[in-house]
Amino acid sequence: MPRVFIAAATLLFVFAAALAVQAAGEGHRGHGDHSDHVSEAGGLRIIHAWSRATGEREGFVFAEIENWSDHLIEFTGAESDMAGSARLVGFQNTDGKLTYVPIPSVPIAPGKRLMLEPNGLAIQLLDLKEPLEEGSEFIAHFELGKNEIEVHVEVEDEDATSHSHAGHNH
Amino acid sequence: MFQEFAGRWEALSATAQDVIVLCLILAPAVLVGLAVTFGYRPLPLVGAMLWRFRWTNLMFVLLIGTSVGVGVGLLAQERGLRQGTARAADKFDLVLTAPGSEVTMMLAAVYLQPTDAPLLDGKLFNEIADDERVSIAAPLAFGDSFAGAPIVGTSPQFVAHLAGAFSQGRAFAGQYEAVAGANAPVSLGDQIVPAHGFGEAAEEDAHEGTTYTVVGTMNPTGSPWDRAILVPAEAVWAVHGLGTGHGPGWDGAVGPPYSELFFPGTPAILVRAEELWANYALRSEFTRDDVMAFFPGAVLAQLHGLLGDVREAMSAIAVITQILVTAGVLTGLVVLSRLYAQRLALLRALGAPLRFTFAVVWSYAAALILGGAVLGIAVGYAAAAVLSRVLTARTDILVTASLGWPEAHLVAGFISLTIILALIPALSALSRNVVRDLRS
Repeated sequence: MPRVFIAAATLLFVFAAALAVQAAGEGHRGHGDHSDHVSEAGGLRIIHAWSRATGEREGFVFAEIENWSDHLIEFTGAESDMAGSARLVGFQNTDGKLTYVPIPSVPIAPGKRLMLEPNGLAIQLLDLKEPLEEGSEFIAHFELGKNEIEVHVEVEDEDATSHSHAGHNH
Repeated sequence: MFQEFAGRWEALSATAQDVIVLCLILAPAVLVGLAVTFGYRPLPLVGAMLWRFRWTNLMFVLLIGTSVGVGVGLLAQERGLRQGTARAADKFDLVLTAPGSEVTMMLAAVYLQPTDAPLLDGKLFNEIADDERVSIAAPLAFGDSFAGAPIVGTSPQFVAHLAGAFSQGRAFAGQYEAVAGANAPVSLGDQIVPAHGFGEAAEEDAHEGTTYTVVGTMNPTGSPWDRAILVPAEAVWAVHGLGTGHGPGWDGAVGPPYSELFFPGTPAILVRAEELWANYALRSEFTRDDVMAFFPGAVLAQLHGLLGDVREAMSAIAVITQILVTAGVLTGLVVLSRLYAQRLALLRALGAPLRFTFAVVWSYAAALILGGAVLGIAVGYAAAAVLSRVLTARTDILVTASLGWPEAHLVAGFISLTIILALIPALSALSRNVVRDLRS
């Protein structure tokens, strides 16, 4: 019987060590291209679009949207070839249940900005066609009024809380 | 192929997924059971063995039951605490404070943990209160207490938003009227003198000459606000010599609008918008150098994310503990099987097949494991209920822990794993020498 435990403990240790080595390797991998942090069209700026690495069929896209035009813009969502569908969602606390719920649209007044961030407003990607790998990038199209703006979404660490260039001026 | 399977799996309801996972986890135990006992009826003999050494067996069942129960109870409790803390923050859609730590300000505004915080001024208060998307903007002014219960200065709109109808009395209307939380240490009609500060450092006589009259008691909210005493913000400001928040010629009606010029400041503003989307727009617009806007729900989700790792560690420790206890019990069974050795040898001498003897010993061990698991569920239920009451009493956050699917999966995993381990004592019983055992 003790042999069984020693063998089990050794296996667990080897498994944990393998995970740690893998995590360290992923931590050192960087982004391939940093040139697409800003997308602009029709007086609108979309800055630092990012997503978390995931192997699930669902992911979220976050970004900062600025409306420098002289009129109100209705933000209705986004789409991407990476996902079967995408929708605008908001994080909500309903009787102790913390979940994302669909939001039809959010108006952005002239001169104002809207933050898409974890546990807040976000674009939810459903039926992801392939895993989102850290360090990779994919294209999404944000729907803002009559504008459809192409955005490069960078995939960050699975536990990231912000874009790796958050705070940089662009 | 995988995509199609994943799509179908996600189309199932959460309950259906849980039931299927439970069946899959239990499947190895059921298959082993069917394979071992196929063609035999070992139960009458197992029943006799259980009864013959009932006190020893009872001890084994108690050991397994306690280890399973503690694990199950703790996991249920952790989930209950997460839901309880989130439910307590349900009424706090968006909170505005001076820039700083969201966690500290959430603990102060939602869970009424005392803290020193910079104040937001009247210009900012009116900017948010006058926003057409905002239905309630209420100051939350902390700092005083009575008999250990926090006194919070706010507006009548916030009182109505927090607890709805009153169990007794009415909302405050005059400057020195107060409403009590459901568990506050005051009764309707009481007249109380506030102490400056909170806890042991509270100065009992700092506000002598100020008396609040309790005019209403709120319905329970399941949050620390149940112990609070709510008064008009005007009174808290006036008691501290800061004016009333209104200009000259104030008619005495408490609540907004406040005068931008005479507004003394507030550490936090509770904001509620009718439209859900407006909360996100307001959060974006009021996150800047002079003010911080946060969703308590989002801060909690972040904290729960950290707790998620703790939960996984707890689950692993629970399973390891249960397996160790069961391994100990099964080792005990190997020793105990020496007590049965003569009877089992007699069975085989009478012509009982080897596999029947194997089935009897395995079924005996499986019965102890199943008995322990069932007892464990009962112990877990009781442990969760007791811990919930203790936590609710200590934190004022209503914690209702009940056993759910995660616990069912944990117990099922325990049963499956240990029932396979139970093959070991059965095998050890077979390896004994029949003739020697008969002579012993």
